Amino acid sequence: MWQEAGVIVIVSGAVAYLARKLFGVGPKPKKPPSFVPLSDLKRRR
Amino acid sequence: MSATALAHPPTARQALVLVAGNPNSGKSTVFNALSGARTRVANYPGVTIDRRSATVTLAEGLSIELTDLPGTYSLAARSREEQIAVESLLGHGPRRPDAILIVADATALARALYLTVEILEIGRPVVIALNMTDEARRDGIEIDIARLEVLTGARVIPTVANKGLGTDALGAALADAIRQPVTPRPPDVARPVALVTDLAELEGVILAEREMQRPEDARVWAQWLLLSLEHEADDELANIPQAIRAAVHRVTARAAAAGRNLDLEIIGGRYQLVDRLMGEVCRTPATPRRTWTDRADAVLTHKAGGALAFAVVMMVVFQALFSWSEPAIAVIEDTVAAVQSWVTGVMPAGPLTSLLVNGVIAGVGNVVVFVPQIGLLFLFIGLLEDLGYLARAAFVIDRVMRAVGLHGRAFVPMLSGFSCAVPAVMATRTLESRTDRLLTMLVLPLTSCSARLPVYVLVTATVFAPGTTVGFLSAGAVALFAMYALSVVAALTAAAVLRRTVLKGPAPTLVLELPPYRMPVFSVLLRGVWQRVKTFLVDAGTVILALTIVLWALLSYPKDAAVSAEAEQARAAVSASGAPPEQQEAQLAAIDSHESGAQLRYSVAGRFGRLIEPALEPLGFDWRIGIGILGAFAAREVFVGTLGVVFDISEADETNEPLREVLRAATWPDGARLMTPLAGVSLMVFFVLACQCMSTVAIVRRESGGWRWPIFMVAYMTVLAYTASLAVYQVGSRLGWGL
Repeated sequence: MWQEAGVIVIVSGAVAYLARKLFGVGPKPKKPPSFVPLSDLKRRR
Repeated sequence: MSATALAHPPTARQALVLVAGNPNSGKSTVFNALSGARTRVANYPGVTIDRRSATVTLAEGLSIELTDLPGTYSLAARSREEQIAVESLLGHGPRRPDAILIVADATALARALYLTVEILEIGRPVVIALNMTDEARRDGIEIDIARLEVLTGARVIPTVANKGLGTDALGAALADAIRQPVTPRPPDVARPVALVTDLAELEGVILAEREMQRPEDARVWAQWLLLSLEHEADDELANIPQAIRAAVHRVTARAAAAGRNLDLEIIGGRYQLVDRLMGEVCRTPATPRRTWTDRADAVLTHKAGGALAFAVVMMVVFQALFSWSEPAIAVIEDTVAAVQSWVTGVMPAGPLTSLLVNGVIAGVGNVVVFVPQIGLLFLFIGLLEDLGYLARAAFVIDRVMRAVGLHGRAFVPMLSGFSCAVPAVMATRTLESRTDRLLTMLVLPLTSCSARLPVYVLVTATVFAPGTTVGFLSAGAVALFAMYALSVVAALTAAAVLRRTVLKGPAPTLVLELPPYRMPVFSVLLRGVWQRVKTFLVDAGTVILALTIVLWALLSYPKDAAVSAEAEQARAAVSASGAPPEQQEAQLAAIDSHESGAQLRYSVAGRFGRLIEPALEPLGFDWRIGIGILGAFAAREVFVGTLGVVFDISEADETNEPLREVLRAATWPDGARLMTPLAGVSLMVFFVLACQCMSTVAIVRRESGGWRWPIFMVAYMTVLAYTASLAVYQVGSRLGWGL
């Protein structure tokens, strides 16, 4: 039983980590933006 | 090439000092010498892409924010990268600079003085670091520093930044410039009357549209706009009001109608002043000596010799990459196997033990095992970059780049793509036109990034027996070289096709500075290698580990109770049979293996893998490799870890053999060998050409401003990968290479 519980804890942690890293779900680290994305730029025309 | 986060956040009271200079003038080295920061330094123009800042304490505790700007030859801007530098200098960023530090290459003073004249026009206190004075002295160049100070009104400090010489004096001069600011008098640039009238007209519009701290700033801005917005080309300059753009176009159209060349009038006036300054402060030898840089360049930039040298250098790198890393890989593999065996021994059998052994420890091992190759790859790239060879390689390659419609400056992003496509896509900002930039972005993911390296290494080690050679080179090294060559050919071909279809435009021209050859600073080089290895371990490694764990769960659940019950019955029957212990052990192992295979096929991932197997079989892959390929669409590095889990579970491996041994033994249901050399090549070709990286897709979306281009990129690369892999396997099989 305790083995199953350990599996659930580890796999849930991995899923949460992936959701945050790959899809940006959950709290984001506070980091100053290092550049301005192109999409933010106003185009000339 | 990525941006460095602020070393310490600046406070409002801190003075702001901007570091400006030509590309390859040693700007980042000066920045590092003053700040102690570890900005990436390379002997290659255009290393600084984003702004980087550090808090520096100067003499008597004066704290300043030092900001390193991208290198620029002038303040005219046609790319976003150049606009960052210009706006900061003009004070249109969040803050106006308190002083500007210009880093001037003493061996190319005239070029540095052009930028200096432009910056002096801005009217902020200026300190000039006259860098590389040792090289200038060696080349017989004499510079009258006192006279230069008088003529420019700026403090001039001779430095040899890579040896730390002169940086204390530079710090003291900066402190003086901030405590007792002296605004340099405007440089005495000659301007025709018509130009003065045009500038006055523009100044009026600028002052009406934008708030200027000093009326003189409008003059600086007017000149900048005339040089930067002159053409109708697709510039990407931001935040310029329409009224100002219209005024600039009015002035340029009028000048053109009158047969005047505004570029020549503005730039020519500045160059007259530069010539005058050079005449007064700089003496160069009448007949310049032929340096060994010139002699080496005669070979390395030669049409045929350069291409040959490039091929030899690349071949040496791949041979070393493959053979030097072998001992370290063996140590890591043995260690991982020992830890797995230890955990299997001390923990009772069960799902958690299986997860720890086949998910967690195998996952960590599959990340760490590639550190030797990745470290060596970055070491070689860094070494060639710092030696100054990469600029020559860019020069040699430009002929090819231009032929396919890529800009010569795209060489830097393309080369960065060999480590990772994400910073490489960001590096396309150095390209001026949006079309050039999109084209580079779309073909960049075809360059073979370091995440593919583990796949190539695993596959070549699996399908080519140790000791197999082609001539005097190992088969693995040749296969590795071939994959990198294929990636280059694919990227160039894709560029040629896209340039002639969806992204039409003329072939652009490259202007590139060839830096002198320099000995790399090894401590900086090794630090750079460590930074990148650390990034791989922390950013990619943790994702690989997490995905390996999730995959283990998808491969292990749900369980088929009937299969478990049947296996239990079979085990009980074996125990009750009274057969000799060896025979019982063999029978039990066969039952374990059968149960594992049946449970794997019943699992979520197993069912999905079998669903797509018909599409993958013509490529030479079974459903287990199919699961690996699917996992790799998140990130390529995951492939090796995925295969580790899939094959460990399917083979019910108790001996914890290295993955390549397990793969070598794997078979199709009919007993035929799964990983033949042909299947291995087909698999590697798929990995060369497929766009299997979420981060790359995300960064292309961000940089191109929408989903259209990243979707197009994923689609064309997937089709290309499938078709090429299919062709390799089917043609190879028909020719009898499938054994």
